[in-house]
Amino acid sequence: MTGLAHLSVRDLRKHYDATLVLNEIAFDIPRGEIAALIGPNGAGKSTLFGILSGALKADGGTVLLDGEGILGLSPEAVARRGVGRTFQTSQPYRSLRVIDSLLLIQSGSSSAWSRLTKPLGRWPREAVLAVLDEVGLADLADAPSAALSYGDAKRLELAMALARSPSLLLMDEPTAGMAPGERVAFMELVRQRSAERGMTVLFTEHDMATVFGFAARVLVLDRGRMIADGAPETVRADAEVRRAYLGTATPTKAL
Amino acid sequence: MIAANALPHAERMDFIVIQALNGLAGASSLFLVAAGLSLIFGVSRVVNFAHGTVFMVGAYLAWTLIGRLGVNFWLAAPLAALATAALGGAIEVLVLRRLYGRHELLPLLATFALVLVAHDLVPLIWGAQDIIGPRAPGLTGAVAVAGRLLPSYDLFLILVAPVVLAGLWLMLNRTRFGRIVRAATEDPEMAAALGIRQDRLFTTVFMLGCGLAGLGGALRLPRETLHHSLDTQVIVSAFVVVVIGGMGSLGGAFVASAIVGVVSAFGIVVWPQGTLAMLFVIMAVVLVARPQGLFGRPALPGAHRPLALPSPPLAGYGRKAELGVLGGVAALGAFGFVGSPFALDVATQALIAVLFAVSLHLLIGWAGLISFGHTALFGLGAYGAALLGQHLPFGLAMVGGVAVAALGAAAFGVLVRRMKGVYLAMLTLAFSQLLFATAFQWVSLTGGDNGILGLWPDPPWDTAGGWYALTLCLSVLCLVGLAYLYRTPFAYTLRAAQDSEARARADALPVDGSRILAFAVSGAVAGLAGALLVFLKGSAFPSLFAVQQSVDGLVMVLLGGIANPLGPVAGAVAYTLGVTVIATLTPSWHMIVGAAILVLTQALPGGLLRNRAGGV
Repeated sequence: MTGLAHLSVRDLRKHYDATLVLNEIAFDIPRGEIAALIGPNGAGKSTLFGILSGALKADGGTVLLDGEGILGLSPEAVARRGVGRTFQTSQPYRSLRVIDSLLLIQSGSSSAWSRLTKPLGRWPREAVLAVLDEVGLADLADAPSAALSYGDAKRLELAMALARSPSLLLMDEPTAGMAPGERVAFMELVRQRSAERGMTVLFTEHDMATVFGFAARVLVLDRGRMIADGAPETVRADAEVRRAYLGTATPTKAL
Repeated sequence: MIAANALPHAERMDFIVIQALNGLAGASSLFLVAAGLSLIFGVSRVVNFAHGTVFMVGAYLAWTLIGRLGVNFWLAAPLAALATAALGGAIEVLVLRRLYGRHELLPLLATFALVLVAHDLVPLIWGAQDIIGPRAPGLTGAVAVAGRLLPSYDLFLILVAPVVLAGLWLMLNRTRFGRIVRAATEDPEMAAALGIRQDRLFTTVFMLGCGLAGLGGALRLPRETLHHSLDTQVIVSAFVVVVIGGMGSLGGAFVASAIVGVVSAFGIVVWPQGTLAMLFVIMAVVLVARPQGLFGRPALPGAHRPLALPSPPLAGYGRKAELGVLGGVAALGAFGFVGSPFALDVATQALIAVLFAVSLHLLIGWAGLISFGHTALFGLGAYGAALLGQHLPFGLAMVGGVAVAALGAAAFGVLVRRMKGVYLAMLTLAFSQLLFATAFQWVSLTGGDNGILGLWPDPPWDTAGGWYALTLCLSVLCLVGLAYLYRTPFAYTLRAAQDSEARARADALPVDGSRILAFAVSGAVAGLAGALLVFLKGSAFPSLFAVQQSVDGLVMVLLGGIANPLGPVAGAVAYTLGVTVIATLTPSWHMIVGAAILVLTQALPGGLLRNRAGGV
């Protein structure tokens, strides 16, 4: 089982003070799969993301990436293992230009000496421009990141996460605040990249159309417990999921 | 000095008890200052550098009331507290109100300007001589404790701190005003959104904090002598207390002031040379082990401050700018042949100031690491060069000084790599004070207060023109090197980590490594400045590590404009020349410089030079 999974989580626990935020979380995601993590506010989604990316410490459990433990590593070390991440509120480098943000990220994998001695303007731009083209920001390469519109900032953050060609992409509410058409285009980008390069994707999302339109697999968190894990249709029909979301067993349009 | 372990057992116990009580009595007024400082910081996120000054003014006011007007001590103390509260209100409204929501260094700078003004004003009003305070009526006797006599006033002081703590606790937890203060401490933005009048709250809390400091000053009067440089001594101790206890925590201030008071009381008897250093070591250990202090909560949410960052110098100006720079350097070179020795001496000092300011700007502007003890690196370079210069040719000594400063800075950077904001500022201050104490008290190595003398360069550098030429060459080399470095991914990583540290780490950027390297480079440049100054003056003194030096650097950087890469250059030149001119006109130049900084923080909060590219 673990041998097949790209990302494998077992017995993950986390509490803040007296509150248990993650209780014995376990799941596997095979390589190249697009999985959605959903749950009501406060279910523990962002905490789980924080732990997977190394930003938060867990109380116990294991997280294996390609069979190797990554729990307890720093965010930088997790990122170097091939994990890319976007944040709930997009956080571009506001003082840098779009192209410089990506050149900088790309330079991170080079030697310390070259990062100290070679001005950023002289680093090769082709790969970076290709990523910008992929997300549709090629025209804005020289724009200041701070001047981007909301949707463009989200796309820039995706480009920043993709710049290091991650094997696992974690996205925390990637399309929050976007118009419906924009959402589809954005997720389509991610799906293409995943299909072309076998990139595994795990994303949280409140918009159910996006979840059921793009995820091959849906994980449901509720008050720190994993209450469902399966194909979208199965999860959609799950009684406990409905209760968690709605407090009743009445089916509604939301799911 | 009596070594404690040389005494027989029974006497040793007496000694321990009496010194502990002595320490607690001293801790009492310290607690009052620190509690005020902490309250103010909690609500408005302002670190009031003038808090020690308010304390001192409270003591002087009480003395005037008692000595000149014949007021009873027990009435004079609360009156002095009321007067300093009023003074605090005036400071908040006139000096600080327009600075909220801007760079967090501005309030610090503005309140430091008040310290400078008081530096000259207080001796003018109350005289420069030491004052022995009056005894407290009714408490002039002593009580027997553990077989020894303890002044009954000390016993009273020991009780003051817990009583004030209890009073403040009741106020914070049982009154409407207290609830508002706590809400604003927890989350300033939410408190503002809920319709709490921030201006009125800030003024009231500032008045309360200053009133406490003034009361502390008045109550100290019967116990210790009063002098006009008490303010820096008190503010540094209060910083130590607040940082050990945790910013914004009154209970923390209480416990930490007791620790500091008791450690000082024992230190003075057991190991007087090391007392100051010991306090800073305690503070550093606490901060490294528990960055938020003993009772502080991790990372109090600060008001969001939009921050403009510098961008690579002269980027986008093209050939013309390069020619302009070349022309400027040529003109400076020519000046070396025509300038008078005095003019060359001033020009050399200005260049040294430029190096110092630029090295500080690397930390503050580019890396977002606020240093309040930058002179530690300057002094390391200076003392490194001076100590080596006693045995080696001056060139090697200078290289050694630079290396000492760079390595010292890197080691410090490793220690503090995860710290930011006010806590980092305080830790850098502690670092510089620790070195100050070392330079002052390790007499066998540094000569203590007498300094190290007779350090002159070899010909042809031993003339005003020669040293100016060498300083100019090295300065230009440093500036060109830094300008190049600011275009590399290293400098972009520092900026990216300021914009979003979480994003930078998730992008696998070497944030910690870059910050440590920034410390090392900054240390090398500051160390070079220090080494250059040593051979300009021919000597090295502990004052190289004085807080004043660090603040001078901050003034230069903020004066020039933190978001402009050339800001520190402009600021250092303007400040050095300005101070030189004013100091030749009047001995009260601190006051003039302080007033000038006050005006500048109000009129030009962004500094002389803005970032043409708007931070991009």
